[in-house]
Amino acid sequence: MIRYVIVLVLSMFALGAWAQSSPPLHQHNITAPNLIDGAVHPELIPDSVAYRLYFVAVSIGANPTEAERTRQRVRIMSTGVKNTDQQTLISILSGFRAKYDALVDEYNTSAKEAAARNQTTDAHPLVKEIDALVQSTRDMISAQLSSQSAAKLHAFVVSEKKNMKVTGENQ
Amino acid sequence: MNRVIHFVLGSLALLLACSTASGQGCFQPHFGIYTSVVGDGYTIHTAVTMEGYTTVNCSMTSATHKVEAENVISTTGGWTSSGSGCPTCYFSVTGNDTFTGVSGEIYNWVWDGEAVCTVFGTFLNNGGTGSLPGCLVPSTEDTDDQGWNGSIYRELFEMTLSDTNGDSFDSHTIQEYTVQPGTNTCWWNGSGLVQYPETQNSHWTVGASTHNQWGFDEIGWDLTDLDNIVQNGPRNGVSFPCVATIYQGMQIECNANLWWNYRTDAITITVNNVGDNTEENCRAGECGVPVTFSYQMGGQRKTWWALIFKPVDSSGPPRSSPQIKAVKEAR
Repeated sequence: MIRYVIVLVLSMFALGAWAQSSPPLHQHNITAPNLIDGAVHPELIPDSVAYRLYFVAVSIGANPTEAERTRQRVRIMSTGVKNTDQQTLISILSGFRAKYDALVDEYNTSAKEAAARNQTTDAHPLVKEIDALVQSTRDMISAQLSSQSAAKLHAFVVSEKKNMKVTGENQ
Repeated sequence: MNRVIHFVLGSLALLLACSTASGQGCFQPHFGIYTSVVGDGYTIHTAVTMEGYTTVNCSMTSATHKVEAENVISTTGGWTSSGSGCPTCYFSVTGNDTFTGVSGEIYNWVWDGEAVCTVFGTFLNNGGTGSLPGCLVPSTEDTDDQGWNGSIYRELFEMTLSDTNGDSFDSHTIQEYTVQPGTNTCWWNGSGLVQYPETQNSHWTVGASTHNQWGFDEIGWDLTDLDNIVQNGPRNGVSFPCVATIYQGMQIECNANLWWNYRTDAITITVNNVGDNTEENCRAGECGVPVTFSYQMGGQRKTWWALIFKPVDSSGPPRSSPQIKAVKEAR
């Protein structure tokens, strides 16, 4: 019996050692059971979520490098927003990024403090604040860009849902 | 002895329990993953963004989380990490890669977004691969309305391509495709109109007459269809204005039937019967002036339509002609 147990334990360690020494492979996808693929069901991704992901992806922080500026400019150009509106949009995105980072930093500070006390925090209030920030940013875009540019940006963001995947509760 | 056996088997059971805990209620991920590809001349910009948080329902005092984005074109790029934080922290990371391709070459693109826990390992991972051709790609396409052509009953649009390097796209072939089936509120069962309008997959040569320009993209209903809509639509439930929308994608040929999708647009054809009967045609948000049309009554046209707000100047230089006539109608 003892031999059986020893063999079992050694087998477990051997299995673990084999797994760790295996060459790195590209992992198979581990998807959440409720993951929505925008390429299949774009209608299940709300515009607010699509805008949030787009704003986060295309906005850049303070003191960006020249490469970051170029990348952002090209990405904005590809939306079809008029040349005369592009700088305005960049300014709006810059404001979004500063507020977004501040909200996330504030929440994460309190979450870390709670974790140190072996407590968890509820992210829903933060999500609501980010949703409100996304909406106010969209409002600014509607107010400050030409209607044509705002419409083009909206059409672009909606069309980008095909490149987005979100968990169901991420809405 | 039995204690040893119980200890070992108990440890084994605990290990198995831990490995499944992440997927069975200990925590639940709430993330979004967004990938984008933009071409600008021969430069390809890709980005992978992962953003969100995790709801934790168990004690994870010692654990930390992080999110990572992988973005690799050919042999460039790699992983970008958010840095570690508490399990309930909010994470955001974007991995960017910029690559200059060579015409005719095809490059492998690998992307991935994952959320990692120091206790449970990777608990969310979603990635994919794609092929990116080395290709001269416009980053901008401007659409200009060139007026109404009454002889073919179409609004004419001319487009200008550009990138940040000022490259020439002359002699390159572009074509349209249907991104998704369109919508048509002018349609009714038995109307003979198409319910889900699409593009006609026309193609054009850039710069055939003017540097970096292509056109015309000719948009509108045939007059018989307009007649049908305004005369028969109301008694078949059509309310005005009614709109046909076509979701048009544009591709530029890289070489030998290899195409790069460089933009998508909406084409709308709006018919109204309030006051005069009018048709307004738009491409990419650029609209022609609504044109008035007459309708057929008793085999004769009630009034010969005559309004041409922006006639095409036939005395100017010849316009670029599509290789296939680009009549855009919702039929």
